[in-house]
Amino acid sequence: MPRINEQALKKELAKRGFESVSIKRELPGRRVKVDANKLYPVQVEGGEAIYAPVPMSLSVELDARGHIKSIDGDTPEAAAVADAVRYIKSLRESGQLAAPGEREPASGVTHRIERDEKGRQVLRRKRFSIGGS
Amino acid sequence: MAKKRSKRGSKKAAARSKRRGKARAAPTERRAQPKGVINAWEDDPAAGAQPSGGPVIQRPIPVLREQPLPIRIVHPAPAPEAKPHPPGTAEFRYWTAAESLRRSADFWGALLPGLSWQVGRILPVDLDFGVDLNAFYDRVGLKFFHGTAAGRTVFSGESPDVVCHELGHALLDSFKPQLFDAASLEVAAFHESFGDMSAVLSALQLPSAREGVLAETGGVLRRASRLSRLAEQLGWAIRQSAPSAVEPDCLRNAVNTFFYRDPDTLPTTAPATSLSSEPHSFSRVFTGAFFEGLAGMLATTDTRDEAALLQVSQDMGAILVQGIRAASVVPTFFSQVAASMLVVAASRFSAQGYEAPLRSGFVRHGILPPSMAVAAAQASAQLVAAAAAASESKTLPTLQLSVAEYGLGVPSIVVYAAAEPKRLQVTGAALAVGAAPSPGEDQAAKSFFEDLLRRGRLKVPKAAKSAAEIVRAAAPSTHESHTHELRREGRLTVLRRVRIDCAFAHH
Repeated sequence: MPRINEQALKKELAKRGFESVSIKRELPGRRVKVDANKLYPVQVEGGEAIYAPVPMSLSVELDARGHIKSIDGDTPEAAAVADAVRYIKSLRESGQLAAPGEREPASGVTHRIERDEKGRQVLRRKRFSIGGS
Repeated sequence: MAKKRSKRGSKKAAARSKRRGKARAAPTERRAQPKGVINAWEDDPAAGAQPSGGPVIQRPIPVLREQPLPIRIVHPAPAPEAKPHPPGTAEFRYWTAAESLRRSADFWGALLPGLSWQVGRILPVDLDFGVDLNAFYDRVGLKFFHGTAAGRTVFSGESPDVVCHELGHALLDSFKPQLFDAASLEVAAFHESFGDMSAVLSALQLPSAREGVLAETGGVLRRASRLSRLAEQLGWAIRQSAPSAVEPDCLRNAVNTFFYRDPDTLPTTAPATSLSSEPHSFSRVFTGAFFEGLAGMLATTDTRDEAALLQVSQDMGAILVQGIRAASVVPTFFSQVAASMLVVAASRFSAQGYEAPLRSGFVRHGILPPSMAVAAAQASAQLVAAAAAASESKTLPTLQLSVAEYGLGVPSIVVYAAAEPKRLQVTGAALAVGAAPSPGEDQAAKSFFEDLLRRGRLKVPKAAKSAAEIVRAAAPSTHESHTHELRREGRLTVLRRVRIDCAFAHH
């Protein structure tokens, strides 16, 4: 198996909507085990969907030139999606999610919902803090 | 009044530590060390419930720009003269922060050779970003603040506990970046726990802190102590306006009895005496298990002295890092990391006997049910034997499920972790009731397995088809579409994923 070009693979996966990609290991049959987050639409208390970075584990099949041929597991597990919904609710209830339009986030705020270039509402962590809100 | 501890770093003990550490730790070679010392807090400016009284120590002048993991204090700049300054001065605050930053980066850098910061080559640090009783890591750098409580101004960047906690975030983000914004309650809580674990392990790199905690606890590390109490002064300051938000004598205490619960069943916020799903609150479950494991690891050593404590802290750091690297990111991340740590302990530190005390910590805090903790250790032996050259990412946690009642012809099956993403869901779900005393009560894991059967996703062995097979009406007739099967592997029957079906919600 030719050596994997990690940067090229990460770039290709980014084009397919995967973020924070890390290559875990090579598998037989030109496959690569990859951990990544995927922006996935979740419904929280109605309204417009929020795209949350949902952690996933993928198996990526490469062709002879090292390009992506297919991806197994590119849809998040139901449990991971449910976890994302609970997480957003928890952020809201504990005051860790910045209110829309809030420019200078309060002390306990760790996350924001931003519009990305596609016009989607995306949950983004801005920081970690030492204490809860 | 700050107590002053001399450099009773005991050269003999340091030499002993060095000798013992040779086999496993990989201390970083340093370039020319500047002559002289600075004054610093040992772990925090405060002592217990009081806002002051932390021990002052003298330390070599830290060189932040050096490898591993270079750091730059961007504010205040430039650096004040490197000499012993009295507590209460801006110069003291600068050097105590610099000392703890360098110490923590050295500790983690030795365990993660070649790692660079997620934010770039150098980690920028602002020691006074504004007014707040808090500290942050964002993907720009570390930010500390000052705030006033009961007439006293508190600087969060002055506390080594706080500094090493934040550096822990930056470090974890550098070797597991997927965790940064993963939308998961347990992942967020784990990041906070790692910060606290970083504070504990970084403190233990100081000879005076090791001697101090051994003296304070009579050598019984699991007792609450300066080491387990994190960020006493910041906790004090927050307590002045929000008494129930923090512990009575610190921000958080790594010695605790919090027991794992599915965070979904917890309130969003709660007083510090209770568990909530808020990440800092929930993080205490993992930190408590870690600390108990650390104490147990020390108890396995012959001498249980300061040198042994140094070695144990370095070994724990290695187990933690390797466990995190191997763990897949799933909703029940705590259990994944714990199981992976047990595998590492059993396979790479078997001579030290660390696996048993670590397992006890995770089981006693409900992060792993007893059955899975045992299975993880057993799996490690098989895996090590099967693949001597296996990388750490190939070590897998397992869960043993009793499945006698399904008529499959086998009393129990083993489920391996990282090889099959779906299996991790099993693990996690099981752990919500993992505190149950017997594997038979492991309802969540069973519900996953039963779900596979119910949805016709398990390829049932031929002999058991008539008794156990559920046929899917929508199953294609031209090819197999089950996602899992049971395979005989040695003496075990193992649940293996054979394919991933993206249309998980519709069948």
